[in-house]
Amino acid sequence: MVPRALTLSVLGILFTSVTIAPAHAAVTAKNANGSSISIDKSVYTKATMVTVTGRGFDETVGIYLALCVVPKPGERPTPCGGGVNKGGVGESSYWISSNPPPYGKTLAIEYLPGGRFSQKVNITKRIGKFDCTKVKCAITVRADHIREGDRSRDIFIPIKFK
Amino acid sequence: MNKFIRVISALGIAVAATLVAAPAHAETFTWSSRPLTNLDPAGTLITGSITNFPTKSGLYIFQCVKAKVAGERPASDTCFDLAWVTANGGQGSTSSKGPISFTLKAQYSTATKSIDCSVEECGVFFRYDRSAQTDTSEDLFKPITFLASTAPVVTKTSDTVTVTFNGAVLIRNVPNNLGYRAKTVISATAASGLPVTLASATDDCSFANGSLTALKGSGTCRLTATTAGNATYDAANVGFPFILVPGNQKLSLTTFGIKKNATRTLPAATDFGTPIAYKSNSKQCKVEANILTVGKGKGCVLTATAAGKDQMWLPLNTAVRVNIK
Repeated sequence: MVPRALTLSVLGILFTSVTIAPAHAAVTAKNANGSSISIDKSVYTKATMVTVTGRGFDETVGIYLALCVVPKPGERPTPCGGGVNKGGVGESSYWISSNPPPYGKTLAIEYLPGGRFSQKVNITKRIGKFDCTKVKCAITVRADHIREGDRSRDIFIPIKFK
Repeated sequence: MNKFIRVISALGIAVAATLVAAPAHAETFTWSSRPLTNLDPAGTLITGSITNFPTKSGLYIFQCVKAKVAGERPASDTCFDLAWVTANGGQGSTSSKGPISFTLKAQYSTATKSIDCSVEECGVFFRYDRSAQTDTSEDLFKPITFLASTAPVVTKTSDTVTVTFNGAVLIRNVPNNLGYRAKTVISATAASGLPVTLASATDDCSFANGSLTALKGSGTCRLTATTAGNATYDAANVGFPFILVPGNQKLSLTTFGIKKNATRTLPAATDFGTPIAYKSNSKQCKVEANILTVGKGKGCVLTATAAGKDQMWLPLNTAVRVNIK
């Protein structure tokens, strides 16, 4: 029997809702456009590699997947782990796109059929000078630089360190 | 005294004018290349270099239409990526320490617009990359112009490009159906023997590794095949439209054998990620979720179904034959 899910509107962010099943169960954050990301749990005691699965994405729109400091509502997530990483090859930042510009053909990771992906993201206590035990951090999806400023694609799963 | 006041006033106006005319900021780097004027509208390769490269972050270089409001950035939907430059290169970027090359064309397309720089005021736009993208202190817009396309006509032979789609020859401007995520093999040859560059001209499809892939199950896509031309042959640029149709999701098995009184885990989802529901036609096979348990007997047939997605892919309804050994 699946426990009754608790749906929360998170952080006042317009497009995202997060569903948390109690006691270490999977956490899923959904965008109003039907896309979602999931992880096994959202509370950590130390740096951990976490598998993030995405579903229902529009394969014509590239995204960045990264651990970021949660921005003010409506603002672009920044800073994010992985630094300057347009190649999306770091463990804290991925560029997922099925139709990147020519220079990104060998850098971006293609969506799986159905608009899915599964990538390991390194969850760390610090993002640059920011300490995720003191500021809000989240696994974040946002539109890539081709559509910079498009906040309608943003998805957040808040992460906590105990 | 009046003369003194007039001099002071004049100086004040001059200083004020200077202050108004001065930009809010000025980039610190310097771009050097051939002049960006009177360029070949068909494409001009620009090779340049940057000195005093900023230390804060890398730079993106775009071709954009000039912003309508002075001092603002060009609209991003008019910008075409030319290069990404970082201090030392790496991760797919170009190093600021070496030559930086890109091609400027009079006509180009962005994700949402077709731009004609012989009509619009265009330029090369430099700005910080995404790690400092709100910082406009290194923004630089260098106007570009193209020659009017009235160059003397040199008679060349028209090239003929032949493109095949899963082995069948495509006819220019005659649409073919293309299913969402269907496997395709595209190949092309030119009568001139010149290499043919294939590309998707629309975001709803991608072209890579000799395959055109529909990323949606409705709408249209356009495959382009181009050659550069040479002294004998004109450059070729032909387009082939595709009508996108819903795709067929698949189950990774259709028939398999299993020992009697055994259990097997069946695929939980189709190749598009849709959950599969199984139903058995006999008591010899029982399925709960995606776990199959068989008893004795010759075998059974399972019905596997999965939902479709509107304008993306069709529902699945297929049989899986189970042979009990």
